[in-house]
Order: sequence, then C-alpha cells, then structure tokens
Amino acid sequence: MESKPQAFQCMMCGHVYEEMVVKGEDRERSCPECRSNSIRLLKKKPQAKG
Amino acid sequence: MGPKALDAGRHPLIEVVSNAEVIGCEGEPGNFRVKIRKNPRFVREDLCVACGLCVDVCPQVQGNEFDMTLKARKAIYRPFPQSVPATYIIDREACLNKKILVCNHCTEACDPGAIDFDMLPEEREVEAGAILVSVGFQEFDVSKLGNYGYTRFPDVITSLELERMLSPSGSTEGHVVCPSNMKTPRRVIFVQCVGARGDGGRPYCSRFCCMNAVKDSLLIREHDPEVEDVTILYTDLRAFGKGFDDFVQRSRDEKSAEYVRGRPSKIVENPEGGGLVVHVEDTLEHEQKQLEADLVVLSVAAEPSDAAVELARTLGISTNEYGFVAPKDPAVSAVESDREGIYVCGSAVGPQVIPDAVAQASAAAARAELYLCGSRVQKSGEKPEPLDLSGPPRVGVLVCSCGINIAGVLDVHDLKEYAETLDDVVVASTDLFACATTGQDVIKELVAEHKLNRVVIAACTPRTHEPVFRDTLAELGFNPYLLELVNIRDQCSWVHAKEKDKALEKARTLIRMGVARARHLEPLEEREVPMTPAALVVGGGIAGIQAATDLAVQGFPVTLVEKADRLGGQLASPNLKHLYPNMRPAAEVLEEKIKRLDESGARVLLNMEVESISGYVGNFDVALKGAEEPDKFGAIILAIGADVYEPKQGEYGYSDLPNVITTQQLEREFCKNGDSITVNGEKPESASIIMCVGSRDKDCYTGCSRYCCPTAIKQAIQLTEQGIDTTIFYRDIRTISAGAEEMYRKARSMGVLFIRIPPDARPDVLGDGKAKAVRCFDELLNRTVEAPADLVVLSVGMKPRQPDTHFFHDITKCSVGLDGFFLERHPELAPVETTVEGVFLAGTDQGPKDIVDTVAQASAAASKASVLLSHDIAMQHPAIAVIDEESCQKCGVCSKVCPFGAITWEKKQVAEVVEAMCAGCGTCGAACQFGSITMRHFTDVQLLAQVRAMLSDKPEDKVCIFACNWCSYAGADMAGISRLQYPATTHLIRTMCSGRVSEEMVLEAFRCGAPTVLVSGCHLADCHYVNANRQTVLRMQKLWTKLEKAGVRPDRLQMEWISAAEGQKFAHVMKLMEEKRLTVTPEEIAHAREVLKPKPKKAKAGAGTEQ
Repeated sequence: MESKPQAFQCMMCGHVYEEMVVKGEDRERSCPECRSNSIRLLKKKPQAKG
Repeated sequence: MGPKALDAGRHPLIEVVSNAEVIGCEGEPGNFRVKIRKNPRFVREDLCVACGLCVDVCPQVQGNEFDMTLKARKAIYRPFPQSVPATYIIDREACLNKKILVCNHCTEACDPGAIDFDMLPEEREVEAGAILVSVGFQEFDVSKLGNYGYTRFPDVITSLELERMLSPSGSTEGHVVCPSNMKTPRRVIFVQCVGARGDGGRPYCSRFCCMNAVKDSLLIREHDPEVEDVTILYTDLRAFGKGFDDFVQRSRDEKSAEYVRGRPSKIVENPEGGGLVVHVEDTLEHEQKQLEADLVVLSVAAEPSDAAVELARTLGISTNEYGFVAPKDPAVSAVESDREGIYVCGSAVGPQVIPDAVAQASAAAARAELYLCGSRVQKSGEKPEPLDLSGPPRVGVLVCSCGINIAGVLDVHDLKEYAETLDDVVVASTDLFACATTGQDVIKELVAEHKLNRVVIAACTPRTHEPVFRDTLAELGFNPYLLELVNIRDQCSWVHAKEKDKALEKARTLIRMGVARARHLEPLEEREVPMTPAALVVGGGIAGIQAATDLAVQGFPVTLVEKADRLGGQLASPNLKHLYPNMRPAAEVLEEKIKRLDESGARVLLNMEVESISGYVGNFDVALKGAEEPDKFGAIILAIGADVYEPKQGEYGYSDLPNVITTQQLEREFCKNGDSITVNGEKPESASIIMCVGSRDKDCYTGCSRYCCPTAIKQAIQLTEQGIDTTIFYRDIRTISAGAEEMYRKARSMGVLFIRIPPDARPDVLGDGKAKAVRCFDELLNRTVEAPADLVVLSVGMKPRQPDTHFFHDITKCSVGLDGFFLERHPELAPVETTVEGVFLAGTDQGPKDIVDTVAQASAAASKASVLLSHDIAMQHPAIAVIDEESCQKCGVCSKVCPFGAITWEKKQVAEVVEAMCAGCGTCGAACQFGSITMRHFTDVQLLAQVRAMLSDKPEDKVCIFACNWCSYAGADMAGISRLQYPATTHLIRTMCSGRVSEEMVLEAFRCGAPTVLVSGCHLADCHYVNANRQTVLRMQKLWTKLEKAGVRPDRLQMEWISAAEGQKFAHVMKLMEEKRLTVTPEEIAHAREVLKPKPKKAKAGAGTEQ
C-alpha cells in the first residue's frame, strides 16, 4: 500500500506531529500527546523545531 | 420505578387489581382459574379523581407505613406518590366512621361521590394461562437483635428508613437527620449484614445491601455536606454486578465513606455527652474500636413476606427452608416453580439486585408466553381522534423535581417562573415525578386546559423517558413529535451538584433552548414497515439454546447459528461436571436443554458463521457463510458468550509448573476421573485455590466475574470429599447465588481453610519443578501463612470473547462498554436491550454471570424479542430526509454522502429520497449547500433556534456542544448516572448523528458569541449510520481552514469521539472545553461575530425552505 508522511496538528493542545498515512485509509486519529480527537490535517509538512 | 409502574398501569392488556389477595387456584397450565378477593378501599376507583380534597379535611393522623411510619398520613390517603392506580384508600381501623363518631368529612368533600363506606370485599375468578409470582420481600425484624439497640435508641435506624429519609417525598424531604433531635448527623455509621449471613437472623446474603450502603454514602455526601464522616462496617464487600466494583472504587477515591471490616458486638449510648458508640473489632487493623456516631444505619436482611408464604401455599408451590419460593431446579433456572405454569421472579425467589430482578421478570414472562400463544399483545387499533394543534405555538412547560434528583440541586419553582417568561409559553408547572401517573395526568390536564400545541418537559434524558411522555400525549390524540424533553437531570443536576447557582443558570438555558426548539417542531407520523416474524440467535451455548427454545416454542421461526460443531459452549462435556448448588450433572442439564430445543422446531445451523448484518428492526438482512442470499429476520439475539481468562506463562507458575491449573482444567479432571482425581498421575494430598485471577484486576477485567467464588467453593468441597486438604486464598467471598452461602458454610465446616489476602497482594506459588505450597499474607491473622499445595488451582475470571465481540460490534453497531462486554441500553430499565432497536443480549456477552443468571437473561431476551415479533408491523421513526424539488440544484452531493444509498440521483435530475432506506442521520441535510433538504425533527430551523437560544444570554460564559444521540449524548448521560462532576458552562444540543452538524450551525454559534464549540460523535468505527461521521471529519477540516482564513482561532472549534460508555471521557472533555473557553478573549469573540457574518447572497426562488 502506498504511504507517505503527513503533518497533523492537535487543535486541543497544539501538538504538531508527523505520521505515515496509507492512501485511502480511514481510521480514527488521536493526539499522541493529549489523546484528543481534534486532529487537523495540515496541508504543508511541519518545519522541524529546535 | 415511575415509568415501569406507569407502563403496567396503562397497558391495554394489563388489569391492575390492587388491595387484593389470591385465595384459591385451580386448573392446569394454560387454564388456571384463580380466585381473588378484592378488599374494599372504600373509595371507588372509577370515580376518584385523586384531587386530594378528602385528605385535607380528614382529622385522623397516623404514621404512613410506606414511610416506615416516619411520616404522617391521614385515615384516607394515597399509599405513595407513584402508586398505581392513583386512587385513595381509607384505613377503616383509623377512620372515625368506624368508631364512635360519624365524621363523614371526606364524603362531604368529595364532589364525584367516590367515598363508599358500604363497600364490601368482592370475590372474583380470573382465568389465566400462566401465573407469575412477584411478591417481593419484607425487612427482617431487627428488634430481635438486641445488641444493635434498634427501637431502644432513636438514632439507630434501618436502611429502609434511611431510604425514606433520602426520598424527597419522604419524612425529611431528602435530608438525613437524627430522629432524636431532627439535626443533621456529623458521623454516620452503616452496619452491614444485620440479620444476614448467620448474624442471629437469616443465613443467606441479601445481595443488595453492600451496594445500597455505598450508594447511600455518596447520596448523603451529595445532599448533606455537613455530614463529616461516613463509615461502612462490612464483612465482605459484595460488589458482584457489572460496574459495581468500579462504583466502590469511586466511593473510595472520593472518600464518600471509610470502610472498616468488622461486625459490631454492641451499640451503646455515648456516656460522654450524647450520641452512640459502636463497639467493633476491625479485623484488618486487628484492634478493638469504639466508633462514635450520631446516626447508625443497619443494613437489614431481606426475608420473604408473611403473605408470600401464604400465597405459595394457596398456589400449591413449594417454598424453601427460608420461605422463599423454591425454584424447580436451582442449578439452572430461578424462575420456574415446581408447579408447571407458575413462574416466579424478583425477591420472591430470594433477595435480588434490580438488574437481575428486571431480567428475571422478563424471563418469567417468556416462560409464561408459552401458555399465552394466540393471545399475544397486538398494538391497539383504536387511536384517539387527532387534536387540532394548528395555529401559533402555545407551549406548556412542566418542570419535574424527579424527587430529590433534580429538586435537590435546582430550584424547580424558579425554573417554572423562568419558563413562564419565555416566548409562546402559555403555562408552566412543576411536578414531583412527571413520569408517575400523577405527573402524566398533570400533562394531560395542562394540554386540555390551556389548549397547548407544544409540550416541553424539563426532566431526565430523552434516551429513556421520551417514549413514556410520547405515549401519554398520543393517548390524547396529541402528536407525540410536538414534545421536547429537556435533560436537566442527567446533564445538569446530577453533574453540577456542587455548584447549585451555576446549575440553575444552566437549567434555565436548557429550558430556553427546549422552548425555542419546541416552537418549531412539526407534527410527524411514524412509518409502518412490515415485520419479518423470525429471529436469529447467534451462539449455541446455554444462553443461545434457552433464547432460541423460548422463542421457537411460541411458534416463531428461529434460526440458531453456532460456529462450532456442537451445542453447549462452556457447559458441554468435558468442560463441566456438576452444577452448584445441587450438584446436578451438567451433561444431564445440557442434554435436557438440547432436547427441548430440538422439540421446539428451531432451525439449528452448526459450523455456521454470520458474515454480515444490515437493515433495521423488523427487517435485518443477515448473510450466513456460504448462503447465496441473505436471510431476513425481525429480531436478533446475540448470545456469543465470553472467554475465560488465560493466565500468562509463569503467572502463579502457570504452564511452568505442571500442577498449576485453572478452574476449567480442574473441572475437566473431575469429568475425566470423577471421584479420584490425579495430577500427573498422582493423587494430591493438598490443594490451594487462588481467587480473582484475571478479575478485579486493572490489567485484566476490573469487575467481578461472579461465577468464581461459588465454583471454587464447590470444587473445594469436591476436593475435600476426596480427602484433599484444601485452602482458598480470597479477597472477598461473594457467594451471592442461591444456595452458595450454604455451600460456603458447608466448606468451612468440612475444614476448607479460607485465607483473606490484601487487594494488592499476589500469593506466591512455591516449588521448583512443581508447586509445593502457596504463601501469602493473611489479612485476618495479620501474618504470612503458607499452605501446602500438591495442586494449585487458579480461579480465572471471564473476559469478552474476541474477535467475536469486535466483529458483532462492527456489523450491528451495538455499543461495547469500557470493559469490552456489550453494553446494555440501561442497567436497570433495559438490561437485555442494546442501543440498536431489535438487537438483544443474552448471557455472558453482556458481562460475567453464572448459569442461573445466564439462563434468566436469555429468556428475558427472548421475551423482549417476542414482543417485537408478535406485531405485523414495525414502527419506524419518521425523522427522515425530505428534498425540496423546487430548490434542489441537482448537484448530487446528498446522494454521494448518504451512507445508506437512500438518495437516488442522476445527472441534471432532482435527487430523491427512498424513504424505506433513509435511517435519518441527516448527513445529507448538512451537506446540502442550498438548504434544499429538510431533516425532519432535526431541521436546520430547530437546531439553529437552539443555538441562538443558548447564546442569547451571556454567550461568553457558554460552551456550545453538538452531541450525537447514540454515543456522545449517551456518554453525557453516563457521566450523569456516575455523578461525575464537570463545569456547568457546557450545553448540549442533541442531533442523531454528528454528520447532521452543518457548517452553518457551527458558524452561527460563533456569530452568536460562543467562545468555543465542540462537535462530538461516535468513535469512527462505531457510527450508527455506517460511516456518516467521516463526513463530520471532512467538514471539520474545512471549518478549521475557514476559521483560520477569517482570522478566528481554529482551536475554538473542537471535535471528539465519545462512546456511550465513556462517561469519564465526556467529563474530562468538558473540563478541557472549559479550559479552552477561558483562553478566549472578549475581543476574539467580537472579532469572530463580525468576520463570520454571512455574505449576502442572491436569493433563489424557493431556496432555503427552512430559513
């Protein structure tokens, strides 16, 4: 299955992270930091911090 | 209690004959003739309107028996507020007319002329196919136990007396007081097992007392914060039911009570200045204590009522040595008496907790149905003439006190007065219990007197009570869809009990929202769809066999699907040798059950699996493996069972040491070698049984598995009988099933050693190459002990069967609880129903239970299914989508997002809804950009009215939440049931699916000044509308982008998936939403109001029909 990295942002705690996404996959997302489901798909790849 | 009594009272096929007794019974099953004597109540039921004027003028006062004589009643009185029928009765012994004076005040006050002092006892004969005995219990007479000081000290009361205090209609209107001075006690002590488990009274366990004391401790804390200390003196904490252990843990976490293990030796007056002193040995702290108390509550044993024993004699059924009705076979069924055609349920057969009593009642009904074929319930063909409800809205509001549940926190009179100020409200009123018969009468009177065409009831959750109120209105010819139920209990008074002012403000807002929505409600008619009168039972264990048999014997086509090559599940040989308590061979029981199943005519498919399930109640399409076409069923019973916990390698030496085995392995050994078991070819001289392996463990199943204690004791007796010295390492002995306490005593008398281990301790299994002993700290001896063990038996608990539970959860969408077992719709009101109409639960897939309880639940599921199947039609909710042809832009978006393929569309054509296929999620309505789709009962107008009403006052203080009916809203109710506290700023709007929440609704909330908005729904895989919540995800992504572009912080909009079982998650999310709200500044709110204003559009003819 084709997969590529995708950037996400948690709208609850603000955590930005990257995750491999399989094309066409349909699964529930939750923030790896705070477990919130308010996960926004970011259009651009996040810039590395620090 | 209210809804159940009401249902019975108004059911067209139930005649309630009150104040009556059975004096004779002749005939045979299917044709009993029962002689009844109806004692005079001296008030004619056909004339009494329950106005209460007679009570006002009656001069005679005495203690009310229902209130344990703690409260007064008159000689003419109504026994209790929810009594059915709601007719008064005259106590002739207390009435002056019986005595010297001729009073007649009541006769003069009664306009309808209902008083009749000449009334005589009437005898009548009733023909019945079957008889159900459900006569309940009475409290053990605790005055026989002198050491507790009951009746000598006024501040020693019984648990039932406390219940009446805690009741809002009781003696102290919900507040606990010391009877000696009517002051709130500072220190309350509960004494458990009074008159139970051999304490000078009854030898058995009364089952409900432990949890009742835990519940009361929480209630006391909630309603009387002045109470400083609550202590519960217990022997074993018998939290055996589903969720009970978690409830006890919550009590410990919240410190609602201190738990002390010990039975008091005596209770005396405090010689040093008032109050009482309880002398008790704390058997865990190993010290004698004198605990001071202002009030002592005795948790008193239940015993059969005197009348019940007499009734059993009249009916010719046997009672056991204690006086309860004796089941024909206590190892298999609790509901069958030893006289065919007479069934028993509830506490008539022994003390029960409510969920078990309700399941048993349905089970008894299922057995009785065998003799009622041809007389089944049919929906009444007579419908009242529809009322003319046209014209401008005339809204009536009824605010329910729900006893103390609402009124203990909220000022219901304030709410009533507030409701009167709202637009189109013509009348507002309050009632103690809106769901009781009196409350229903009030609703009817309000409608008639004020010519209402909308009704708002501020009470409890619509998920359980909406049908009750709808039925009441339907009886009047009032369209039931013009009712709005406002949830000020589960989502307000229960969850904001500690901030009453804020709770009141929230309740006002919720009522305002309810009225706003009600003003836009429209009359709807339910759709009738044909019922397929056939049932599918999934699983061929004892639960599946029982459910299938109970349905098939009534003549319903039943298909039982079992994936194994034989029936019987855990009961099948060589899994189980004997059943407790009467040691009946399991093989014999199973053979009997399978024979009955064969005779019933049910179709049994072995080696068969279900591949998929689609459709809806009355019309499920079930694809079975290998079948060319799906089969159709009207109802489905899931009886897929549970697995037993498999210990990990090395856990207590399991699989490392050859003589460490599980309960099931020992049982198989009994099957194989009978009275002479061997381990590795040798007869053991000693055995140790370790309890709660995989149960009551945060790493496995946190609850109690129920079957393990009696099973271990049964096995200990069997081992001891073979000359094997046996020791049981336990945490609490929970011998709650019939005959189990007696087995416990027998085991002790035979020399079985019981060693109580601390909750966090794990016994060590000693030995190299094979187990030789078990060592653990003994809490009672206060030292470490070692028991020899040639055989170690791990008493393993139950766990959800996987992957089967996941699979059936996926294809049926029945909710699963946090414990992994299927979630019942309501633990007490609906223990075998699921959140999916037409799908029922039987047996251990709902939670651990033993065989008797499994069989009862299976029959209960069959009973519920048979009620459905006995109708020719199934009624379907009228909340479906309707497309306005004029404004439809023929884009086809609605067709693409519909998860059911219920919208047909072709290019350049107006889309069409196939009504029979529309499930009512409303996703199409949210997706339509042209306002061309009306989602009935959840229209844009109705939902936007709620948004605007919520935010019309102090919007900056509010969190706006959209919650789907099936999961998030149910999760909020679960938080309420669990009394989890969260901020009162949170306000819910219910939609059927999160997919119904349109961009416009969210944006309107921000335009109205909402600081934060939450859209919540089912977990993605749990969507009750296939995958409609995927549209929610897509819509949220668009909205975040839109907000960001407009310069509005996108994190003001949140999305969460919360299941019906996740009350804790709901409360946690509410706290997070409140924290988020506090970060939003007034400037940000004002900015969003401005920039999100809708841009003016060119009007299209007919577009936006709802606007």
